[in-house]
Amino acid sequence: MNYQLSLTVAICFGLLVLLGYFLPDFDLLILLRAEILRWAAILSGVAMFVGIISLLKVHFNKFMDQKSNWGYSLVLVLTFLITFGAGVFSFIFPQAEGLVDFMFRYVQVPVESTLAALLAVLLLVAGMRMVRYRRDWTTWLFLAISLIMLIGLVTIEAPIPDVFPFLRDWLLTVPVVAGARGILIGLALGAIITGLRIFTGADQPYGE
Amino acid sequence: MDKPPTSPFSLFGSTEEPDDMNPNASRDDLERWLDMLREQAGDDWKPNQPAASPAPAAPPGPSNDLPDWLADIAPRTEETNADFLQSFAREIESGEDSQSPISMTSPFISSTDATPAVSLPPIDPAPADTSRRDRPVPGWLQNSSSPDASSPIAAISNKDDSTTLSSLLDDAPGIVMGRGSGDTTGGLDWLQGGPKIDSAPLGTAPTSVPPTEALTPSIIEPTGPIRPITQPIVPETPAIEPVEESLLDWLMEEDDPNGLPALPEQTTAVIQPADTTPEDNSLIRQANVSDDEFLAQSDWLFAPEDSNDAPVVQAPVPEVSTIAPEPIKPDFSLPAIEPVDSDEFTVPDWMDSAPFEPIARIPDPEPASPATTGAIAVGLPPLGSVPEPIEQPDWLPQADNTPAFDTPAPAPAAEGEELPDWLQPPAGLDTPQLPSLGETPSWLPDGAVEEAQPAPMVDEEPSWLKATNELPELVSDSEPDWLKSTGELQPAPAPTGMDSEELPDWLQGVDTPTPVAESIPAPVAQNDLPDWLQGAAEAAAVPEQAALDEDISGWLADTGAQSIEIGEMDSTPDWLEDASRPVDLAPPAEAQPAPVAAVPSGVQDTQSQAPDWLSQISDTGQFEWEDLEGTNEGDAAPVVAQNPLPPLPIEGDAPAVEDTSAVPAPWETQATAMDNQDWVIELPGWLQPEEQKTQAVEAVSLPKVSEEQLQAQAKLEDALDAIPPGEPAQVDTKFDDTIFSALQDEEPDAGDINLKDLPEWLKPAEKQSEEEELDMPPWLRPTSADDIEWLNTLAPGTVPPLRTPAFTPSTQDDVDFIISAEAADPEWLEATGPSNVSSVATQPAVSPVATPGDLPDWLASVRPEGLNYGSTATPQAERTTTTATELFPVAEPVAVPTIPAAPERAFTPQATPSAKKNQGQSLEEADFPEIPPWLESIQPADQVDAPSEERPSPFDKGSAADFLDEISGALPVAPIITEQAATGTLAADAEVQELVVTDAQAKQAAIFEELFAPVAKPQTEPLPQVQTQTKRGLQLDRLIVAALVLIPLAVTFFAQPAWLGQPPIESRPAVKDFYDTVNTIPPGSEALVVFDYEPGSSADVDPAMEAVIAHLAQKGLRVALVAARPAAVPIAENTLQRARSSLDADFPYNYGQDWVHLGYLPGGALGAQALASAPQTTMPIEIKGGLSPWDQMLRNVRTFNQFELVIVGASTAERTRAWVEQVQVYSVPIGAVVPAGAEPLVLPYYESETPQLIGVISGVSGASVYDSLSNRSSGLLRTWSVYSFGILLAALLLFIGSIVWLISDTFAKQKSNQPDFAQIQKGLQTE
Repeated sequence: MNYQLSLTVAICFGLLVLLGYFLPDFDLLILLRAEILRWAAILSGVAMFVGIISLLKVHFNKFMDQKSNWGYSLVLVLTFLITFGAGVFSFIFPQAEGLVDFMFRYVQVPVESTLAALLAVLLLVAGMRMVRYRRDWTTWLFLAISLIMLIGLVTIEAPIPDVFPFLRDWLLTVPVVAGARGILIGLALGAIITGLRIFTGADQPYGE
Repeated sequence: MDKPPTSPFSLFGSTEEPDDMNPNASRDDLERWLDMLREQAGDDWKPNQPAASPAPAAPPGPSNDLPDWLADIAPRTEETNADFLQSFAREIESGEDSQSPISMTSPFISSTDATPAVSLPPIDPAPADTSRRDRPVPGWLQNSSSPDASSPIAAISNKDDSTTLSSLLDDAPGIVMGRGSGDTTGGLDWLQGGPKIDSAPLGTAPTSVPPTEALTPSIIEPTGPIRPITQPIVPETPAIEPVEESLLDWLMEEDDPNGLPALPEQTTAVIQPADTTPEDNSLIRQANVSDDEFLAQSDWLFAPEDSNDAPVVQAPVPEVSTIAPEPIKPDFSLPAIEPVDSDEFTVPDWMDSAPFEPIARIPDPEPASPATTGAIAVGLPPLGSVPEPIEQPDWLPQADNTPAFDTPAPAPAAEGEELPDWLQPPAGLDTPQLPSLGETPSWLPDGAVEEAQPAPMVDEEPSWLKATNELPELVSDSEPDWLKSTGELQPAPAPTGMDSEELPDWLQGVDTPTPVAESIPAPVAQNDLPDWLQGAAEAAAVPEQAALDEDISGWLADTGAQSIEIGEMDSTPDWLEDASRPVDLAPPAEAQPAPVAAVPSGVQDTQSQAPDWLSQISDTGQFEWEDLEGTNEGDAAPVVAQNPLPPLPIEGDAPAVEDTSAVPAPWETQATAMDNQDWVIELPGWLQPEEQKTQAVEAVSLPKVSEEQLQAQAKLEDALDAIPPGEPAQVDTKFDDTIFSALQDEEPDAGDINLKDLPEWLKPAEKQSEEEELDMPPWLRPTSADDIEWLNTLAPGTVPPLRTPAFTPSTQDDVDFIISAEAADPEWLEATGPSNVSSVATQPAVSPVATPGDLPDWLASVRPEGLNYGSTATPQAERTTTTATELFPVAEPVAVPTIPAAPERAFTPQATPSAKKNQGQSLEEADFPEIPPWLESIQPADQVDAPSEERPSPFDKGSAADFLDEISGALPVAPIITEQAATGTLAADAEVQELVVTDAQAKQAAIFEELFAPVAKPQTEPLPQVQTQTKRGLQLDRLIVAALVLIPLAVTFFAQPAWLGQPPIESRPAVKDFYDTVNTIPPGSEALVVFDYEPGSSADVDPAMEAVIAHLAQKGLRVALVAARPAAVPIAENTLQRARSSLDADFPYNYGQDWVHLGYLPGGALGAQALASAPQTTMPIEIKGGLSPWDQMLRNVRTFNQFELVIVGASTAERTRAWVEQVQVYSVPIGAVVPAGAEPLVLPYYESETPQLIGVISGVSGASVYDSLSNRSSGLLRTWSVYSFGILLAALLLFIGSIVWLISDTFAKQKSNQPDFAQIQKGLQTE
């Protein structure tokens, strides 16, 4: 029953939104489409709120049950409470408005940037190890393209052949764009198929 | 007939004020007192004594035996009723209503008079003392002192002068009988002098018209049989006319000159129904009427003086029952809570027990009274039940309406029922919703007081009464058992299906659960009864009464006697005459159990007459037929009393039987004449509830089962116990059917059970299926009772263990044995015939009884070869052994469950699979005599006369087609089966045209199928770990790499080497185009800047976003910021602030005017679509001030395409693509700012011939280029230098590291075996 209901709702709403595109002269469909999309945006916000609650619940339970790595869960919960308290405090006392911005600017941004920087190091190490574990032409090709792209990006007044910037630009405009388009086209087709599957009920992303 | 009419009302009386309770009072005192009263009453004791008859000689005054207060009352008894009536009539006709003695005519008073004599055990025999005289009148008495408007008193008082009241009274001697004289003043004298009789409450009792809907139907509807008694006396009386018109003066006055406290107005207000008209209000005593005046006017209050004439008073009760031609519909819906001012009024004890007192308060000091009330309430229908009044005696309305004063709830009864007068309880019974303990009607304490008696009184309780005190739950301890029983009677539905008109009064009264039962006086042991009552009981003794045991209470005997009298006077109902035909009662009883439940106690004596469902009561522990078998009707009550009445077990009928059982009525006398056996087996056992079936059979019918049958039953039970689990239901069914069949043989002896009288659904199924059986072949017909004779042969030890149901033939020998045994003993099969066992008849696997000759050939082929259908039946008596089949002649598969595993050699070679399948059911040995018509229609035509050997089974190859050919509409299965058998595949080529599918179509179909095929979940098998490096080595590797990257970058950042240059602009055409497009936007236009990235990407995106925003600010564009991610909200503002700070300090760029922050836009792509479709509704306000920017800064933007530029800063290509896909349809220039890693996937939107993006700025390099284009001096150049150097280091490390690993690994492999490639790959993935 739930499946049928959700399927019916999904199909109906999908058709309404789709018809809003194909029949732009019908104001009713336009309005319905806009309203449905607005609902979707609201529901997405609610879903995020629910997700936050779920996250807290999971980690709180993990901490209470003293499961493995419960210390991280405790840090998460405490961090959330501190951040949330700061936000509430800033809302109550406008003069403390910069408290949240301070935490964001000097805590969240550096932490995430650091993680991104570590990713660069890890990718570098992985590239080096790839030669050890896999020595076929793809490995060598990967290494060659990586070097070209990196060196071609470097703007050093040193005597670096111009071939690297040229190769880099060529790679970006021809093979990379070609491959990216292929990927995008594939994504578009996948999106269409996904829509059809949802319309036909083959997929139930809303179920269970 | 000479018996004193121990009206039940007399038993309601003894309601004593708690304060009046004298714990030392004994019944002996009461009896002495009553004896004296009886002596004084003389002939007036006669119930039906005419009103004109001279009153008995006045008692010799207060004797020494009488209490003082009674001594005061005694003089009143000197007045004759005739005098009183005459004077009263004159007064009425003369308009002297104020002196109306009408109240004296109230039969309530008469009832009350008898009350203390009968049922007031705790009357304080102590002489009147001053303290008691000064005892205040309880509030309930104040309220109830006046009759209700609908009561005869009020009715008569309100009657027009033209009304022939005198004639009415003359015609209704019963009303006047026992009344005091009409001299109201005299009444006042003694009343005033007798402090115990406080007339104020009586006189001031308001009279109101009780709500009709609240009136108990049983009260307002006297039963039919009473009419012959009462109608001739008073066929009609207008006195009962509704009380709307006028009110007696005494009822109108209010002041209390004697200083008696006026009744609280609440009384009047309470008793006045909501729908009471102003005229009705006139019935209520006016507030300005003093109590003394009221007392003077209400001479009927003198009735207490006639309490000595209890017998005289009670006689007219039934006679007056029909005085009221029109039903009064008093309103009891308003619960009246009368405040009791116990300090100012004094009431005699016996007054407390006056049945006419509707008192809402029970002077019961113990909290048990509420329980009593609650118990009563259980038996009372809910408030608001609108009875259909038929005829009501004048006294009845009075009784009914009386509780309206205080009683919150009426005593509802079954609608449409007529209650005999004597069974009419005072309305005070209707106290289901009494709010408090003290509001219990006065008559209730009659029993409650007894219950509330101190320890001495408890000792005097009869044993049966003690037993009833143990009633659980619903019945309180303080409640008399008879009242408890009535309480439980209430749930009982309507009485028997018979017309209530046909029932005698007393029976209907009993049927009427609440009022009748409650009206029944509390069971007092006969020894405890006063002498006069015992004498009365003896005078009216009937044979049944004489047989009563001493434990039988006198009231019970009186009731029975009176009922008998009524029954004798009235024509005996047909159903009573046909008592020997209880079957007639059975159907309605089955349909409506309540009727039987309403059967009086006498029915219990006729236990055998009870239907089966009644016998089930014994199963509940509430009633045991066995206990009554050896008892007379007189023994019934004790027996029942010994069995505490539990809550209603099944339906409301069971408790009803119990309750009525406690009331031995004359019904018993007639009931004993009934043939009990007729009722016993009225219903077959299979109709009884499953859980009680066996018990019911035992309790009712087992005595009729022969000893052999019992033995057989025992054997069956033993055998069935051995049945493997999983098959019990069938066995049980058969067992029950067997037992029932055995019992069927006894039914004719049980009596004339006229099954035709049963409803169709109640008739045994065998009766209903007789016609069906006729159409059945013999082997399909159910087993008859004769077929079950084998049960008789089941003597102990005759059943071999092997033949028990538990026997499971595991070997061929076992199977052969069973088959041979069954084949050798087919007589039981032949004996089968039409059976009465419906359940067996409905069994599809009925034991086949057929002869070989009747079996068609095609069915005979199924028969095992070794089977020999014996044509001669062996007598049952000659049988010495029984087979498993015999044990279960119905051929339940459960009998031999595992026989299907028998080898084939036990059967003929022609045995088909179906036959083999059936062989395990012990059915194949049976002949199939003839094919029913419906089977013949599908029989192959060519197989009809063919020899059995030539007839293949319908399931054999080649025959199925022919077999099905005979069936119209059947699919031709022959080709299919044939080809399938031949080739093993389904060859329908000849029948079905094959679809021509080309290869292309097949491929397309395959693709289409794949598209819509379920997506297979990726395998998530854990990959084996490949130990390629030690832990130490891994750490060293990573540390080296990190150090090689970080150290140069740090140096570069601080050193700022000169050899690090800027990226060339020409190398970034996407950035150039971006910049150029922005420059084309006119100043003052609106631009939407979307921040759709997290802080982790801010280092790569923020520089470009900052440069772009700065450029927009320089261009004078109005920027609206939108954060597509929660964390992007502060990023957006920070970025704008940095861009603004990068400009000149005096550059005007203010929030709300030049830029605005719209906040977070959830939904991802959907949010983008929503914003594009309806920006104003999607982002209605800005986040800082909560204002609507669409009216100020963005006032020019009504649609999304009115934004001159949309800049999307996303951390991934997917998010950028989403925005492009959702927004580009609105023809808005979109510029993308992405990290360097997302650039390859974003560029296609820019590199196309019709670019969907105006430009792409990727990473720090793109930002630096944009800064260069915009001539913006920022720190991006420095950042880019370090960034560029770090990229170089990375390239070098990658190259060097690859070489090193290559070399080292090469050498390592030379030393050892090269690891598997797959493992290497998995290890890489793990890394």
